[in-house]
Amino acid sequence: MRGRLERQSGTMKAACQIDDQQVWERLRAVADPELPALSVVDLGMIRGITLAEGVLTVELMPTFLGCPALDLIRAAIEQALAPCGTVRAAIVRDEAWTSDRISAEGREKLSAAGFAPPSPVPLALMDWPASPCPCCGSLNTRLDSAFGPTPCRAIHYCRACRQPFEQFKAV
Amino acid sequence: MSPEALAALERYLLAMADDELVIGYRDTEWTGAAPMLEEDLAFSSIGLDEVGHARLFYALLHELTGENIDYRARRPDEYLHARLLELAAAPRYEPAGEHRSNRGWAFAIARQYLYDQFDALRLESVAASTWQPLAQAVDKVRREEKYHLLHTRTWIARLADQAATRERLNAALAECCAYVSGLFEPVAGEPALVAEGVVGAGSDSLQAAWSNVVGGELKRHGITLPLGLPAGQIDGDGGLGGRRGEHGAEWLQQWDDMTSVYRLDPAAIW
Repeated sequence: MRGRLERQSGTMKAACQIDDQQVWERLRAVADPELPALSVVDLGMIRGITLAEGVLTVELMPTFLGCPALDLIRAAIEQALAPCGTVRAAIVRDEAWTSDRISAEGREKLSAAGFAPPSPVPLALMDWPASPCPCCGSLNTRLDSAFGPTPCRAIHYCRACRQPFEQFKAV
Repeated sequence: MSPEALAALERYLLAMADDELVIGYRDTEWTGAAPMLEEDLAFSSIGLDEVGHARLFYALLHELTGENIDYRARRPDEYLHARLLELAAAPRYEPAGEHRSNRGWAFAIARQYLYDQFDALRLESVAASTWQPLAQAVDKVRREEKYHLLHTRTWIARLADQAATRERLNAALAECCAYVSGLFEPVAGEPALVAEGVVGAGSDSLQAAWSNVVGGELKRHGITLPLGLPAGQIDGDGGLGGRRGEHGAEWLQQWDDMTSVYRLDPAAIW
């Protein structure tokens, strides 16, 4: 997409030119408020951007449907792109966000921020695969709870370094 | 879609949304009151998920009818949830100092388990809906619901394991069973939905499948209950009426709680 948007303020007419690369760049600066180290792009939450009839639409995929940060994220996206004209962050319903959408860079940032990466959803809680401890790397860890401080995180405990840690859940 | 199916789908989506909203709200009442911190978090998280799913179904309803549903701006008899879901489980502290212990945590686990098993089958039955927006949207819901069942199934096994907790679980399951038929109460016009493939299975076949799954799993834990009996064979009314907007006194209390802030100033923007 090569978009051109015109924005009027008062009697002054300022043309704001923007291409999709610049839009993505701005989106890369929008952080998940509950995981500030990662952007909505790292998390794979942006499916696409389209420009039609002067409206820039950002297709936003929720990580979890009940995520309380969703409205904040929407507002942050619209604010980040406001200089480019009329922006609408539209929630995607026809395709599910999955944890496979987290980019390689996003996974590195997760790890650096102290989160274990997603592991496959088990059939029973006791079959939850051991998560590597983000502090010491040990696999001598156990699941403490499938539900953490936000819907997208589980809580584990490392027996090696005696440290509780969080894991980004697979969905 | 025929006009009959369209009208029935409105009620079906509303029932799905209201089920999720009402149990989700009840779940969040455990925040700070569950037997352990992990369960405070688990029930709060499950509640958030359910309310998020309700929001999705209200959005689909909007897509279908063009009308925006504000869940707070409805009369209590306009909600179509099953009555099992409105029953108070978490303890309640009145501002005046009165304390009501309500049904307790074993009931919350039993209800969540029975409901999640039902919900999983209902979601499966619309996963291939001929109404595309519904078929596409439930994929996300099903991915999240897996964690709820993982959690409640584990707790059912744990509670069934010791004599003292098993007794509580049995009592809680028996109390739920007096209401479970309400989950399978069809919305008006359901045959048109099944005939046109909007939903894959009617309430009768959902109930049969549910009885097999739940009955089989509980039996492995040595628990047998009057699951899946027709409403007439259960004490009381089987929890019916919800899909027609008929609810009990506990619902009025919940509705009052849920909408009290909104009703202070309906025009306020939050």
